[in-house]
Amino acid sequence: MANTSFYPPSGIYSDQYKKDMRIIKTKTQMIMSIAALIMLFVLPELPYVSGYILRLIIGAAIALIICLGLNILTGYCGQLNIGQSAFVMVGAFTSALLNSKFGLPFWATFILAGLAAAAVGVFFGIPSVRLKGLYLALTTLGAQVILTWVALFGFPITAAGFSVDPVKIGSIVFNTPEKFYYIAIPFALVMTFFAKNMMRSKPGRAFIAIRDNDKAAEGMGIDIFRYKLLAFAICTFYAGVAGSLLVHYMMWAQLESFTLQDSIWYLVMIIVGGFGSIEGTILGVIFITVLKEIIFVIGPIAEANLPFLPMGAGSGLLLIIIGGMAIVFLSVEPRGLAHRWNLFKAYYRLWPFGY
Amino acid sequence: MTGRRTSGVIFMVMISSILSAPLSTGHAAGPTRDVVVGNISAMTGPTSGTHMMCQSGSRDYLNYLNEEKGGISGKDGKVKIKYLAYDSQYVAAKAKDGFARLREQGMDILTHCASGHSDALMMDYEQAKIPLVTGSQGVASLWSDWSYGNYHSGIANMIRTWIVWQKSEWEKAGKPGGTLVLGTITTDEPYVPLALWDVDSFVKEQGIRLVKETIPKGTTDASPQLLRLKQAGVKQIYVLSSANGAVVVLQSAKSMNLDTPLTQCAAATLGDVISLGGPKLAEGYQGEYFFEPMSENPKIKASAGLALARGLWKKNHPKESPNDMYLNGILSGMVIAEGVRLALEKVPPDKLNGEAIKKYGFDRISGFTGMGLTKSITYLPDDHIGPKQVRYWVVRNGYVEPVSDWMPTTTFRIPKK
Repeated sequence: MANTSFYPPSGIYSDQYKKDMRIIKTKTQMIMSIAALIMLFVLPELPYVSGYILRLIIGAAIALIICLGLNILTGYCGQLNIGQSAFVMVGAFTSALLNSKFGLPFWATFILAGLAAAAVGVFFGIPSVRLKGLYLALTTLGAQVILTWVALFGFPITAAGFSVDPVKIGSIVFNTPEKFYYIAIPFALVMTFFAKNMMRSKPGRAFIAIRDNDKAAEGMGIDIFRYKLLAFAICTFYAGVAGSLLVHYMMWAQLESFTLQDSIWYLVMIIVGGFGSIEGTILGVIFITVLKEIIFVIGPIAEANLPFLPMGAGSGLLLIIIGGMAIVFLSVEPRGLAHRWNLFKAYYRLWPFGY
Repeated sequence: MTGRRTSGVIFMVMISSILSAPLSTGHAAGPTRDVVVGNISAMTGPTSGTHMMCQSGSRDYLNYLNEEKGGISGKDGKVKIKYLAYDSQYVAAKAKDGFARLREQGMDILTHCASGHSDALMMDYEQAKIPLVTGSQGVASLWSDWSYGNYHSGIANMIRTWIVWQKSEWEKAGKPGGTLVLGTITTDEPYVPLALWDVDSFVKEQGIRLVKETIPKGTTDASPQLLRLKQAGVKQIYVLSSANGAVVVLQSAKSMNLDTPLTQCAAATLGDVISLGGPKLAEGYQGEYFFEPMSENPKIKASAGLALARGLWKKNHPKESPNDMYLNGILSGMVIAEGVRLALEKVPPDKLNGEAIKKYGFDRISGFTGMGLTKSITYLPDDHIGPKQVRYWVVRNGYVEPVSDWMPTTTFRIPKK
């Protein structure tokens, strides 16, 4: 760790590679990280933190895992994916069916769910060898449609929906938000840590190279097809694990929970947070989650007090505002909240000096 | 403002909104013990039209009771209904969030009109001991002791009941043709596999033939499917689709001059089809109703319940065309009110909760018709399906009129797991 408690305006300069590679560079950062972890783990015990708030946090944690995978593929590797929800569905139903039909517990099914989603993701990632941009996006859209159709007509049980056992450790059953919180948060932390380190490693650098200029990357000796497929595999593995968490949290597996609209929401989250940034993913998920709750409060008030609004218009505000957010951020701040966060940090570190 | 200051402001706003989130959750307040009815509906998404109407119907009826009747009277006092709503956006996880929020606000009874939500929330309302009154029970919730239906008798019974009706008409006509051949045309919507669950076995038991065709959702032409059904010699066709799909089928049938009668399943009502396609297109189209339709046919005398429903619609939605699913919501509200009224005969207002309303209220509902809006609703210990009677109607000159008497529905239940 740097021999300083705070982040000096001149920056941290390491004299060893090992020190330079640390994520936590100063003592202050270490203390704040530990404090944040403690805060996270005692949160359910705090006053005013109701079951509803914990549910929101759990939902955000699961969305974070999904969006981390999506950002690895889309943000870091530059391969647009608008069918992420379908891969979440693959993981969800894999986990649910293994649990329901064969009695496998969550601790076995979540890995298998991730692997199953990754296998399907790699299959749909094969066109990426020739397709880019909009054309690849349409392929992933095709994945969403095809996988939904298979779930609807391929297996009656997936169309009907079925119950799933809750997560258990010994005699502890995680069937309430207060308990499941301690499953969702560690998963989110581990997956975030893994994603952060992955992007600082060789595959991560290869993804960035492919995103920035795939021809140049190929010219440097990077096997772009292999790394694109790896990116698809990682992205969909994340989606599969999140799907498994989701069904064991809801204790119900249902087709209607995985729609194209959800895929769009995940994309909006990483647009708002910032492509190619792990911190941005976290900020984007929190921002959209909080924004949705604000709209839930404002929507009915607007509908009740503005007589010219038709029935249901208040709820429609959600779609308008969330969609509008994507447009605003792409136009005004394409680097997302992550960039704003970096500007804030720079401002804070230099304060009271301007530069 | 410089970029840095803007960043600082944005983050202060974000932090403030996060910290203020606990303040936005509601908590039950006030000294009076109202009965809290929570509604979780998809106000956005593919089923928003139906859900909005159901929510509106139950809310308008319960508000009417509060305002016009002063609440619901019991032996030891009166209670008013406090109606709370939550938008699930047609997402099961959000529906569960909504349940948690409404529960924190003191919810005693849950209501909605969504099979998916009925199933996804089953563990929640059973654990919380909060009865559900729903216009649409799902697969698992049809078996639940805490779920009370007030609309159809289970999605798998719609086509079965229609087949039974067609067979009886065919037998009355002297079994022309030797074997009865029926057809069904479906769209690829999530409920379709449930509606057709094991229907081949049922068809075999009935000794008839069923020809099935599918049209993709969003298609604008169903002619090939209808042509194949015609070539197969079907006598009648059952349309398992929403109103949009039904209009496409009707348009295609009209362009082919197909005279085979078509019947709409309860996934959409004739009123929806008339609104969307127009009375001319819908002429001769048949449909099934589990309650009286909203259509103001001058030849048919409305029941007291229907007259009340029409009045509430005109009062609360004067500029909009009447919608049949509004009646579904009205009926939910009526069942809720009846359950609370019965419970108040045994339990004083301050002791009322979900469990008491279930035990002393809903479980005692017998022969309830909603002022003539539907046939008898009786809940038995192992059967909370609701009205098990259906009637078929046909569109004539823009109105709907009955084409059959009330008849019992089949009572098949899809296995729970």
